[in-house]
Amino acid sequence: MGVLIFFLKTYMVFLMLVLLLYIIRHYTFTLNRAFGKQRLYYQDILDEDLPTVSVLVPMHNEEKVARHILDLLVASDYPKEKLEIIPINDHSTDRTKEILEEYAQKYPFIKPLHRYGDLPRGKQNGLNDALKIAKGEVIIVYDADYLPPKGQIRTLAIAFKDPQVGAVMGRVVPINAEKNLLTRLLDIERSGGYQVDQQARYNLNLIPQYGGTVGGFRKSTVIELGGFDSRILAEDTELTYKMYLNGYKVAYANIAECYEEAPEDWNVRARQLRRWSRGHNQVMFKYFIPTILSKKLNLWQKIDGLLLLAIYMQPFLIFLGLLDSLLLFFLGEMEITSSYLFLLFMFAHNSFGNFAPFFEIGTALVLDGSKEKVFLLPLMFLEFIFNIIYASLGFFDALIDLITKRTVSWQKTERFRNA
Amino acid sequence: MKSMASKQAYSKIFEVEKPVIGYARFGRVLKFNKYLFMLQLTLLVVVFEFLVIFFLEDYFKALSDITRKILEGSYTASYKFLSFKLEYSIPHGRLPTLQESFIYLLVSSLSLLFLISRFNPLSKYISAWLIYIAFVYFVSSFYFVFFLDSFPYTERDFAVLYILQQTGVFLFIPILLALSLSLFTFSWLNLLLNAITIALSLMYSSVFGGLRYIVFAYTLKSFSYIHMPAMFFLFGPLIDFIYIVSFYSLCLYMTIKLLQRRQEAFYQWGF
Amino acid sequence: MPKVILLIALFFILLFLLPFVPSLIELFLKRDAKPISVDPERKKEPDYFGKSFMYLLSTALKDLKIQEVEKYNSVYLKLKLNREEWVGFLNDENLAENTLDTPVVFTKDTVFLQNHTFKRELVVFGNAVFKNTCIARSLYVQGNCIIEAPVRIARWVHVEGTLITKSNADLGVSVYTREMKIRGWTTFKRAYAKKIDTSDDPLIDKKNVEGTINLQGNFSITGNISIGGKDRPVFVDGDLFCDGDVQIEGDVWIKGNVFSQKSITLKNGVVIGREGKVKSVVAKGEILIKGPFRIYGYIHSEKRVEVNP
Repeated sequence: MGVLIFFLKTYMVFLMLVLLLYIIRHYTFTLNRAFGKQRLYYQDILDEDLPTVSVLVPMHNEEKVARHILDLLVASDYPKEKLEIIPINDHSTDRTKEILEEYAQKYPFIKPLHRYGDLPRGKQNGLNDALKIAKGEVIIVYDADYLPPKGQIRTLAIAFKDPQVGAVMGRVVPINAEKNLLTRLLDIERSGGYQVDQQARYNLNLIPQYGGTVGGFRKSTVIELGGFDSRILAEDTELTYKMYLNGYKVAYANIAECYEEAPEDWNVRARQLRRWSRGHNQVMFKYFIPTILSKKLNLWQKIDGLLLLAIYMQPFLIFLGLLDSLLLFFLGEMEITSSYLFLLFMFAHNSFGNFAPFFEIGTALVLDGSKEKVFLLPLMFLEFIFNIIYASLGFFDALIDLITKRTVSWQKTERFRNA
Repeated sequence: MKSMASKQAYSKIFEVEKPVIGYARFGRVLKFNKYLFMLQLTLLVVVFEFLVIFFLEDYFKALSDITRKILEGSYTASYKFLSFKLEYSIPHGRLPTLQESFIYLLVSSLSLLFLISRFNPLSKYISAWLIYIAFVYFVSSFYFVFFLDSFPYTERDFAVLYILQQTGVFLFIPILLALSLSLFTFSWLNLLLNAITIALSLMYSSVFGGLRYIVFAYTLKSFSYIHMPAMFFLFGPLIDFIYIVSFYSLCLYMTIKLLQRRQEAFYQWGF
Repeated sequence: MPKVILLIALFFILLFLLPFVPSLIELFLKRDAKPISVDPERKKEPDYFGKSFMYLLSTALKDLKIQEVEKYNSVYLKLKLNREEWVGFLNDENLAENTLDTPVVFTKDTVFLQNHTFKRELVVFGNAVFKNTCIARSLYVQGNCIIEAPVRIARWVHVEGTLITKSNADLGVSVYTREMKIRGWTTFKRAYAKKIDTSDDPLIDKKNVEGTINLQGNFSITGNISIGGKDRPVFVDGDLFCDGDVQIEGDVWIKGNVFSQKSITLKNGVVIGREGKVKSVVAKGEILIKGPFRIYGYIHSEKRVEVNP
């Protein structure tokens, strides 16, 4: 019993330290983004020699949104002779195929890729196939529900003039923020995640994350690095680590703001969160040790890289912490070795919750010029257990993937927009 | 030169569309006064921690007196924490009967099954919280059904743990709020606003914590120890976190309202 | 349950719910529910300011059914630009007033012989020559613009023809012109022109040189970089990206862009870009240009560009 209690207490101390580390990380990011030197993105470079770009839009049953994104891409100010748009129709059973064909007829630079039959489903598989036919030096990816502004392709593509840039990421803004509680919470979380977190990581030369949409990568580099692993759901996170481990970097374009459609339904959000957690944790299992051993990363990049890798494991660690503390309670060890530690336990306990702490989101909202949105911060409490459950389930999925080496199937996020 | 009179001749107003100039939100940086930041951080933490430490014994003494008056059969004891002698009063608690525990076990198990079943019509975030509540009660009642005699706590232990928790909250509020609010250094008004916010949070916490203690002590006396885990894991520090964040958001709103009128006093440009 | 306990329990529940009240009010009233505004038309345009102002002005005039403003004598019109305001249409360059509070439009070629302060936009439909000290918020010139006396512009300058600065000039945030000849000390934050130069002498791109050092490809540098073309001319056929300071001096021709997260110094003969192609020099810190220099395209500094020909 003594050994068990020692083990349980040690875990609590470990958890507190881990959470403390995350708090310090986020506080540093907040300070840096609010007051620090901001790293310049490449948006101000005017250059007539632009790279050729292939815009990939993965689509599975996207009849509700397909026209919107295609119209906006057609209206882009990027020189059409240097642009091709490849909507990837991945086993759609609705009218997506007809819509794409209609646009292909009208615009010669729209070249849909239809994937049916035995071809394996999934974004990563679609991207791999599209890479084989894409002619652009630079690949820009948008999910089908995104609404890119006129000059955004240029803003994203110009970063690849810098030979060290392997991938680029823009900022995601939910267009349906005002719909309901969930979309409002996602709106403020995204604000914290991009306006503060991503920009601070870019400023500090750490590891800004390529997010798989409103972003892009250098085609030759990705092909050289072996394309996307079909067994990994988070192809974006994987690409981020592949880039950094091979000496490239990800540029973050805070100016490249793009509307997306956030999930309006908690069931859809639960599936999305579980899938993200699964994918992210798959990447963690694959890249944790290579990140530690890498000779291309400096110490701070390694620390940030590891904390970023473990971010979707954090809810699972908290879940274990809750079980642990319940056990300790019934074993009569609620005080956890001493009163001082209990205070520390509480400190950690109070900091539980979301991926971006409240002060990070608060600061992001001030930077964004929001006002009454700040009142929503206490409601993030409602997501606390929800996040723990679905991110932990995702962690288990990734663990099973790791053990069984099973193939993964992609689940699309449901769209809510009226066609 | 034309006089004002000639201006009147062409006084017709013509509307044209206002050009949309997207402001450079992406490049904003907050104005930062590092001296005010350091001053706020130090002053707010030192002053309020001092106040907490100064009033800690008195607070628990007052709470003890009130509890003794309200809850019949309370006895008074004290707990030595560092150099503080913290007094508390608490009535005797009771263990749940086997029948009670069994009912709780049944209800919590059935609730859990229902909540994770496909027939659950509730929204997932509500279900998640209910699952957590049911789970805590499931573990608690399971324990009391099978290990009733081994329950390691008495009401005295509860009181001590509660005192520690509440002390932790008091000590924690100035640190957390000072760290997150000192970031705003637009004027001396920030110091005032932040100080008011921390003072209000502490006042709120002392009233809320006191009421919570009395309700919990009464619950242990009248409804048994089966609720004790819920007191720590559901209504413990997690709940304190909500009003701390609420006060933070209130202060942030006031900061924005008071200072965003003059944007140049608020933002500078990072790039 | 005793009444007092019931009361305390109710009060406890009330206090538990109270922190959610502002959140719930916001959730239902939706005072700030809209997402941050993203302009679907957003794109990078170096002539944005001048173009936007002239669009406002020309639309207002079109609505007034004035096709040719030149036909009118000096007059003030009340127009709604960003807000309702008087706009002076003048053709008298011997302007008596020193300070003008309204936007002013000169309807023909204008030589500014006296010193003036234009607190709002100054527009010249024709050529403009500044022969005395002038201050303006913004300047639009339809023809060529020659600055022969100290001029300070706070916001933007848009010259459809050639802009020549022969005297000290502070050109504000944004300059857009067809060609820019800097012959006096000049400062600004951004400038775009097909050609910006500080000297009429042939520089390295127009000279026959031998023994050059040729660097091919794009470069990304983590620290500072210094390129000197004093002994042998240097050709860089690509872009230069640098995290630190960039110092380029002498006969150096960078055919691509130069980008720095710190400052850039370009001295005595540096050429950026090539004729007919737009290239950029972009720095987060200061850009200092000294001696003969030429760029085909765009100079942009978040702090200040200082040119000392």
